[in-house]
Amino acid sequence: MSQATPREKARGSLEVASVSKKRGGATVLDQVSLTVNPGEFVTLLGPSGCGKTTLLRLIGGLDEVDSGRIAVSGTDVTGVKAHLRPVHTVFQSYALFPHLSVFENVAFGLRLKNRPEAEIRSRVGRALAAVHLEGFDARATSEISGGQGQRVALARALVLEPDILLLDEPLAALDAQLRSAMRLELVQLQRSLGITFVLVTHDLEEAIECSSRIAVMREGRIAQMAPPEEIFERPASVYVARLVGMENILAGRVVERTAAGARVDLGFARIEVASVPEGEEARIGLHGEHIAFSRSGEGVRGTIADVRYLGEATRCHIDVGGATLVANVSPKEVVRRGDAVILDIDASSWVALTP
Amino acid sequence: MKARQLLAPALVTGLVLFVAPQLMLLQAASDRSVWVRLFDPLYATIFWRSVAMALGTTAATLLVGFPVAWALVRAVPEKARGAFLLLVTLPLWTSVLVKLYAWVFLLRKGGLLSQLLTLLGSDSPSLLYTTTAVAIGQLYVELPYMILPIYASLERIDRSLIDAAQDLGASPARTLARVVIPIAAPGIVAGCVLVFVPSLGSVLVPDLLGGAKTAWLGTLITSQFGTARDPAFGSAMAFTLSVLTLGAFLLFGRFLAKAQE
Amino acid sequence: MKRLQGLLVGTLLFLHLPVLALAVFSFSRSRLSASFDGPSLVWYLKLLNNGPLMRAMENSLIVGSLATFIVLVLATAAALGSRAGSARVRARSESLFLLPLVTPEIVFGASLLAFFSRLLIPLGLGTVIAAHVIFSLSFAFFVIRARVHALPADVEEAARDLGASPGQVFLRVTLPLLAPGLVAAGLLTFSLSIDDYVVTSFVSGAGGTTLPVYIYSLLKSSLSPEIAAASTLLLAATTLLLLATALIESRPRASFLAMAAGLSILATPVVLARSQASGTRELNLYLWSNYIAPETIRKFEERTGAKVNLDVYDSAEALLSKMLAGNPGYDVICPPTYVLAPLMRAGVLSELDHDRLPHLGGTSPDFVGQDWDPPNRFSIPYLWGVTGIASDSRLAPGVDSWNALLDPRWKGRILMLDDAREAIAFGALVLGLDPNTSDRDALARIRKVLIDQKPLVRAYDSASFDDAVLSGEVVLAQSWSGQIAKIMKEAPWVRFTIPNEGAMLFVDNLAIPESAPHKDLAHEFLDFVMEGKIAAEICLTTGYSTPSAAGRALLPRQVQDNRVLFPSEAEMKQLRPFEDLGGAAALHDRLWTEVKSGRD
Repeated sequence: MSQATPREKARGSLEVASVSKKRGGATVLDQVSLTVNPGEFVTLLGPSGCGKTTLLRLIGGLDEVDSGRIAVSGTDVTGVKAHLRPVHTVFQSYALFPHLSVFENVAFGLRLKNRPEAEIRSRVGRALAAVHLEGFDARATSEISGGQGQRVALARALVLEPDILLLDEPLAALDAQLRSAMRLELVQLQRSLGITFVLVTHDLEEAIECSSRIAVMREGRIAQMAPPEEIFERPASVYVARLVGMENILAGRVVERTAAGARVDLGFARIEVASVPEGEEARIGLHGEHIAFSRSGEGVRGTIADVRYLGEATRCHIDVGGATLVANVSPKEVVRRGDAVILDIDASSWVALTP
Repeated sequence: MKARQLLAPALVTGLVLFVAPQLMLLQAASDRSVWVRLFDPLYATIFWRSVAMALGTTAATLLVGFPVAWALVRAVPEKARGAFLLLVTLPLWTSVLVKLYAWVFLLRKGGLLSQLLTLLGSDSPSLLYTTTAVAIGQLYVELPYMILPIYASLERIDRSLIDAAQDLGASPARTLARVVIPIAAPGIVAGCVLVFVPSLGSVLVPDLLGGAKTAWLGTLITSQFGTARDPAFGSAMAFTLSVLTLGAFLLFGRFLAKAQE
Repeated sequence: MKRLQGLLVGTLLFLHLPVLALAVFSFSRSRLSASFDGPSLVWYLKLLNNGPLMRAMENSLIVGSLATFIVLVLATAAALGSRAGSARVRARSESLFLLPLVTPEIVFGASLLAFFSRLLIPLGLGTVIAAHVIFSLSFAFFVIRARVHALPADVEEAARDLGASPGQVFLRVTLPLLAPGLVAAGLLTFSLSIDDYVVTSFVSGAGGTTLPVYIYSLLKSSLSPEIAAASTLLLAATTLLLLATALIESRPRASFLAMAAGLSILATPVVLARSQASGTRELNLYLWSNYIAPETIRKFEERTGAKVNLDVYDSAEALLSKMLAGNPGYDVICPPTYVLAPLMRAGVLSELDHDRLPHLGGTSPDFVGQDWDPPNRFSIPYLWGVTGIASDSRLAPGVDSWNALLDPRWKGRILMLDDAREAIAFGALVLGLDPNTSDRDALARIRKVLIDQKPLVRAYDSASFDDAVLSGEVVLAQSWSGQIAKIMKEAPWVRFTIPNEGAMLFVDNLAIPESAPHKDLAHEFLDFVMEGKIAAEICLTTGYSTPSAAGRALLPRQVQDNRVLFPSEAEMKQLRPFEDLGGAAALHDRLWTEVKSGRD
């Protein structure tokens, strides 16, 4: 192989810079910027209507940006038509061509490029093998199951060796069991191929399990972009905290700002957090998993207001004088309503949130 | 180019070959006296008779065509339906006139059907030039145009929907009234338009099979452009007819939409 | 379930019964009316030798396929365009497309004729195609639109995403997915086009006669089994083609065979009609159908090296309105006497050069220099006939008066021609009035006669009165002489009477329009048909009477002496020609409408 050209070095990178898009007068995307490195698996996460699918369509070239710039593999593709971009998409509906067989569906893009028949045969064969669909070549698309359709859609996009593969809610139509199996396959496929994946989903679990980084979107903007652990453990805002299912979001008052962060008064306790936004008021978040019952007798005192058994954990609502904390404790703990408890809260797990 | 602009060629064609000629026709009938003559009771009689005939034809084809379309969907396996449809469509490829001539020979004294009737002991050797012949002919000519659109809409009905309705305790009649007919409504409307409009202008069947013993709207208008040499009056009649037909169908469509709610 | 299947089989039988009967009779040796006598291919051979009929089939196929192609392109674009538009654009465009669906055919025809003649667009095959496009566009649009709306989600975007340019998306994804809709719309358009008569008769010009127009024109001279043969061929070809499309996926080889067979049947008329094109000079004839035999045309072509295009019409009024709207390119037309006058008044006829018509001298004095065109300035007589009474002499012997048609004894066994002028002439002759009258009182008396007669009449029918007599359906029939002369060979008990009150004479003349493109050749043709030998041939092949004395002398003895074709001198004196009614045409028409709309 010859020297790597700049494009090859940057192959698989994505840069979205200040992209905006309006539809019917309403702003769907508002000055969105994000950067994806080659080989990353990035997920756009958010509820429906947050603009994540629109962003995906803009990257794929299926819609045009109103303003801003998009570069793929170091090359500006703003204004370049969809069929000329080195980016391919797996659609939520799979969008298989009903008039073509499985083989011809996968061969579609290669035929457009007028590749020799022998090359088409071997590449389609390999792509079908990669998604475990050997021997399905001659089937009609109406004769295969949903999960198989999903694999065909995947093979059809991958066979063209795109710089970036876009996936729009690819697992949404599958049942729960199949979905988790496919998730694993997706991750393995991405790792073995080394292609950049950009996935759109509203499923938190899917985002966390698959991604190297997650971009949480809200009302046409990116609320936070970070690796899954960080999104989960240290959400930046109340919005992200709610999205990742943070049980405790409390109001507090900043008492003192220190070099390391700030001290905040929550009424029932004073805590330290790494950083707080400006102002007196502070929003503090805490996952229920970080609360445990203390054996030592030190900590916040409270009374159990409600207990629910959830299987993996037991959820307790605990009255702590003026506030209610939600704790997910081990099911082995035996507590009843009205029990007095002392809470052991990991001091480092408090997170300050922007509103 | 916007995809929406693809409408332009067809719309321009319509403007040039439909709207402009219609306006010219209207202009040809610009004399007011022409319109006054429309109210002649003689023409009213002919008008209502033609409407009655067209309504009768529509009703008859609907009564026969709906069960046939239903039978196509329910009693024919999916793979064989194409062949059946083909068989329904095939006669449309032979000239109507030629087919009616064939009927003349079948119905005539000594023809196949009258021979059959004689065998059955009937003493009516000829059906030609009778009302029965007109009824047979109208039904024959228009039936495929009723079957095809109704079939198209019935085919889309999910079989499970009917089963579900029956499972919920609906009688076959109620299933038909509450489930099947509302879903087939667009096809029924289309079929009625396709049958009613040509029937209103129909002349061939009553003339060839019925012995031309009454005047019809179609003959009347045609003769204005021919033997009567009165194209202005013909234009006025023709224009009025299309406006009335359009009005009737807009009302019918609205009524049906209301009924569906 | 059994009942539903029974219903289906019954319906299919009903729909196919006449078509099957037609196919059976196309293999019969005798005429359609008589019982089956065969099997024989005689009508198929005749069909292949009938240039004008093959030409009409060819035209129908050309018009049908071109119109279908154009309609499919326009309708597909429009359906895709309406999908792309907003809900309002969609609703508006769809209601616009609804309009043509509720427009009666006659309105299409009349308005398009007005349009083309106003814009001085010459009528021809092109105008026929344009008309077929506009009246079938909406049907195709709604069929295709339904399919467009049912396109699976995202597939076109997926193709774009996989590297297909807009053109490739259309060809490789949209079009194949729309294919069933396109096939359905195409079949519908083609079947509408191939069966259209009303609109075509208005807008066809030189070279624009289609199969339905040809067939309708035959109405006046009774349907020939050649038409049954032509219909059967057409049906076989389309069946094979449809079979091919149905088989295409499951059995490629069988579908290929079916398609090849279907196409070769369809190609026959095109090849045969084309092979007859001989010279560069052309002559455009506009006649009734069956008014000239294919062999006569061939003789003229051989002699002059010219090519003859024959178009046919089904009513003198069609000829008149076409000519008044602007000559659509005809060189020779065939107006009856009463249409000559308005044509001369409008100045659309060319004066004849008698030096180039040496054979005019062979014409019988009965037909030269007559009232309708005194010195034959504009026309020569071509064929003629008489309206008289055909009767079954076994049941009704000794018919000698028009009053026989008012005799209650024959209630329900009388047939009258379905023709306003013939009906009024009958009434006038019964009352001893002028058959060409436009006097209101006279017309009122005639109307009473006709209304009183109506309960006796079994049918008004100008198309198959001969068959009605032949089959015994009626005993007495007001009839044209030519057809009756023909059936008398089969049924010697049929008599044709020129009643003693007198009878109507119809003379069809040949004339050359002022704007005829080939006047020289037209003169050659006029002189050609007046040659004794040719006039005799035309008389024999068409079955009508020839005005040529020279021609009559060359006919076989028994034809010369046939009193139906050539009445006695005394009878000839009793004959009166139809004259132009001018503005009174509307009065006659109204009277006829009143008679028809009264109770039976």
